[in-house]
Amino acid sequence: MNTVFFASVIADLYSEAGAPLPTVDRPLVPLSDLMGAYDLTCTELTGLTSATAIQELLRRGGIVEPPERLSHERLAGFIYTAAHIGAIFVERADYLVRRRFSVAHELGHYLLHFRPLLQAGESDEPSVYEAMEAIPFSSSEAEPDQMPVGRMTFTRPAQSTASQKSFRDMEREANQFAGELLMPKEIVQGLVEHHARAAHGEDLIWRIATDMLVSRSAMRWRLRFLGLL
Amino acid sequence: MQQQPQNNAHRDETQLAREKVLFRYSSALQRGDFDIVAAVLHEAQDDPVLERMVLDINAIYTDDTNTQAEVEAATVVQRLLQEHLPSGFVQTQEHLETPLTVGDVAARLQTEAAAKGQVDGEISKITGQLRASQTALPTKLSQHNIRQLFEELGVNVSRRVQKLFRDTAIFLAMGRTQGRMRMAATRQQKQLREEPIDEAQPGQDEARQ
Repeated sequence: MNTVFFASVIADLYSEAGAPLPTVDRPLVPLSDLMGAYDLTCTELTGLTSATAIQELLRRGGIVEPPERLSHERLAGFIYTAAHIGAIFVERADYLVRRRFSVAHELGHYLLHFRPLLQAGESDEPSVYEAMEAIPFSSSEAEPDQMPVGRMTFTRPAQSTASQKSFRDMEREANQFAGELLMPKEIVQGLVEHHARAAHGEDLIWRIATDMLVSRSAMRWRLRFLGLL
Repeated sequence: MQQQPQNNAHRDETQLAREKVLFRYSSALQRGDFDIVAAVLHEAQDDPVLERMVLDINAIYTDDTNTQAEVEAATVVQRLLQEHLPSGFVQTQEHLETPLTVGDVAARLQTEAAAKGQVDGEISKITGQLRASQTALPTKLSQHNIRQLFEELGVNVSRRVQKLFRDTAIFLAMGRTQGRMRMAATRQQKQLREEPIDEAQPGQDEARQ
């Protein structure tokens, strides 16, 4: 998957949601509206773990039988999908900028990995139906260039298909998707031009990150990726 | 004619016995004593009234879980309940195949609000209006389709309640999907187990020769 592919998935996402594209004057990405185009929910939970997320799904009728081996490790984000329907959870106590990145990361998994795989399974193989991914919680601002690395769980038949692509690749793709979605190249370039006269270095990163509601580490990573830093 | 007081006395005794069992059950839940929990659930298999009481207690218990230990315990209890009292979790193929309706979602919203002890004027009004609705939900539960659904129903709701309705509809659809697929997977495994073993298995022919 390359930048062109991500751009086409993101264009489809905007078109499906009927949402306006961000501009330099209005650079915030309407995450909630974009997710609203699909059978996808987003819930904030305090003390998020795989177990509390599944408990919430049980309580709300989202699952009838809980998956086995649930972890109590503290998480920043979690997604559970049954066929084409998904539920994203984020830690309520996390920073807003990181909550947004966690949501975008899980949305990336949903669109790039889970939905295509599980939708195919829905019609052919009735036993291919569930997938989960969890992003561990990091209590401090992430180190520069350090992007979240989650863990995936598929049901056994899906596991064999999924393993054709390594989990590490899928994590990298979800992060790149989140970066491209939350920090579109044209908008970042426009904001760099706008702020460059008055700010440099960390100050510039901070200003653009604040405009786009992302963390400084995510913006630093994006600027480096675009060759703007 | 003296039969009636005797019957009443018998009913009272049975009910008292049930309440004692229920007390034993709720105490065991609080202590995390799953042996007692399993024993009570086993007992409830033959008593529909006790079964209903146990399921009600469990619904309250599940809604009250906050700490990690409580979540863990609630998950164990959920599994025990499904094992011992499957009738409380009726998921027939017919039920799972029936399209979800606006009324289903309204009923769920009402139950969830009641379980939390919430008094929400808008939710009460909407659920009252829509509970009997047999209108099928759109196949795709996008924000746009839900907005359009409310317009078609002629019901004016806030963005907050629209989101709550949509989330609830998605959770219910997800539950049915998971139930349907688990049922299909179980059927598939059962078929595999029941398939007659091919007599001419590799190795056997060689042994005959």
